[in-house]
Amino acid sequence: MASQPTLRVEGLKRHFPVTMWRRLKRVAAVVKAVDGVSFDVGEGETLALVGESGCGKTTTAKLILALDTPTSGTIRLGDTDVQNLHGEAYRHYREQVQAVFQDPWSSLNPRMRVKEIVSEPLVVNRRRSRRDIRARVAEVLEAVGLNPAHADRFPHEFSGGQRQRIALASALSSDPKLIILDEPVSSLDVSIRAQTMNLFRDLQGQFNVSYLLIVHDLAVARYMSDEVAVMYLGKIVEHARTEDLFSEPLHPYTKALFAAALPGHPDVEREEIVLEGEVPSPIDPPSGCPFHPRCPMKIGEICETTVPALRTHQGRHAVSCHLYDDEAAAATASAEA
Amino acid sequence: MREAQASAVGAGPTRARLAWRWLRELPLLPIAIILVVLVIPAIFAEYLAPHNPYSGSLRARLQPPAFLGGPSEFLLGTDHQGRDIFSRIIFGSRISIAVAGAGILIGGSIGTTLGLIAGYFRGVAETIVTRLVDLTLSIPAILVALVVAAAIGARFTTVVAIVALVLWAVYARQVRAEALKWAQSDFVARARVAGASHFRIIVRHILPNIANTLIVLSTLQLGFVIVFEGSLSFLGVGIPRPNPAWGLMVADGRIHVVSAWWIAFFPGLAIMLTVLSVNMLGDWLRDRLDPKLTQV
Repeated sequence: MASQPTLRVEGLKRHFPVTMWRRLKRVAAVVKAVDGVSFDVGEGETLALVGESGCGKTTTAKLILALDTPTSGTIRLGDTDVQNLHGEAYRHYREQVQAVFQDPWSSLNPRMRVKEIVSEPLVVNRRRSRRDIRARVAEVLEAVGLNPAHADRFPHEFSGGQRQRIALASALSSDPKLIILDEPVSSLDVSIRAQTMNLFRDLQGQFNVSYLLIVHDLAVARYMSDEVAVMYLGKIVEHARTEDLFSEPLHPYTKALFAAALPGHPDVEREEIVLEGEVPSPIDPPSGCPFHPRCPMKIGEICETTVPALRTHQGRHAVSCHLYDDEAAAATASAEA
Repeated sequence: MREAQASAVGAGPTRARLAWRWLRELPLLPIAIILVVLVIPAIFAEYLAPHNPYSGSLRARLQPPAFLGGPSEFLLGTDHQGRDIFSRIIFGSRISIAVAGAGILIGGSIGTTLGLIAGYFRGVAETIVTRLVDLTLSIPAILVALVVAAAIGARFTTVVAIVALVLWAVYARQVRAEALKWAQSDFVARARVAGASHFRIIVRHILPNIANTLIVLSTLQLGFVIVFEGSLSFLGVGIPRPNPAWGLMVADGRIHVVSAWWIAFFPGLAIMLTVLSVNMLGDWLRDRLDPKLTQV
């Protein structure tokens, strides 16, 4: 990874206060949607946040997009702290961080022409000449493989895949450093997913932009990302380079996720791990390790009482599980022997 | 690949053909009635009306319509002051259009603005606006009109003000619901990420998407306002005499309804035809402009 990461997130928390009724009494509670998340996204790299729905990955994305304010923790883009941005710094941040959302049918304003959609990040942040804007729109449309002559059309004249390209063109138009891809291909037809993912990867190199990929599909994460962070109940439970994570998943939750994903070939033999029970409520998360009530490899009391720290294991592979507290030491010992 | 996309995009019907298809399906009868009864008379009243609508000859009072044996110069007969009913109906269309137009414009603007603010910003603004809407809709409008007319007198401006007072709440309620829906849409989130101001999001992203609703709502309200103005005038708290407001004419004809039924009948017919046609047009527009239906 290069010297300074593009995006650095540290100890990010977002707690939503809620009121509930319990035995006719009103009790205040908090939903810990994101509970102490830290990660870096390197320059020109892709970090995938994976996890099932409700694990806090979308809330994390909203916090980074400054659509929501964190309860605590910091988000830094380069040298700027995202909190309390005003004036010029705020405009700059809005230029530097863009997003592509899941559903291309609802993320493009049906009443705007393609050129207006694509140029929006340019128009709202800086005064530019009309000719500059038109040239830039043509340039990014061409880059995503659309005909610049279609800039006068409305979104309903395009297919889902084309709409997602328009959304990407719009995100790229202000030459951002970071684009948040929130499930960018999951609403697309399977037949055009691969070409859309290739396009995202190609343009990453061309525009030198970092991606934060929010995704539930492990195959997409594997194909698109350099690093993967697995989230469970608002926390990162495992974080590693993509090849390390996929060759040797450590956390029992990650293993279960992998076991649940369809293999690339039907004859591939795979371990079957069936998790019992539901994801616990984030209002009332389990004590100790948040995964312990469903964990097939629970060691004992320590899982119920102590929250496992996210520890680096074998160099760059970070995992938060008590299994590896001792094993990590043992592994190093055996490697030395 | 680019060629494939170009042909896929170009395959739909051209804009001109879509416009033609749209034109062909226009509901011609309601539009024709609106033009004949409301719009054309309002524009060309001076040229179309054969008599002065404000003064008549007492010698020619209570004449039956020409086609029922009355004198040929009074097509729809005369009223108790000898004024030509046909001419008065023609001039009356102006009052209906002016009251409905001004009332809808003022009430609609206020209601739309407040509805947008309530639906987009939520919070305290939303609470206040929705309470005011509930309050307004719970007050009987005719009663307010009676009080206002008694206090400051019936004038064109008071009628418009009362119409606007009733209408703003209808607009605010509808617009708030729509703004609420669009404010949570992904394209508004994208616009915020791009750095768009609240004002820009409301004006460029939300308002264009509720324009259809506003058009439909205004058309449907037009019928209501014409009847409402007629009711106010009928009760004597609307447009003052001797203006030829349709509702006022019905009220004046009421006492002669047994002996000279045409005084009340023809203005009433004008109200009925206009409102019926406007509502039919509104229904048609709602079917055509409802985004959920046009998507199919």
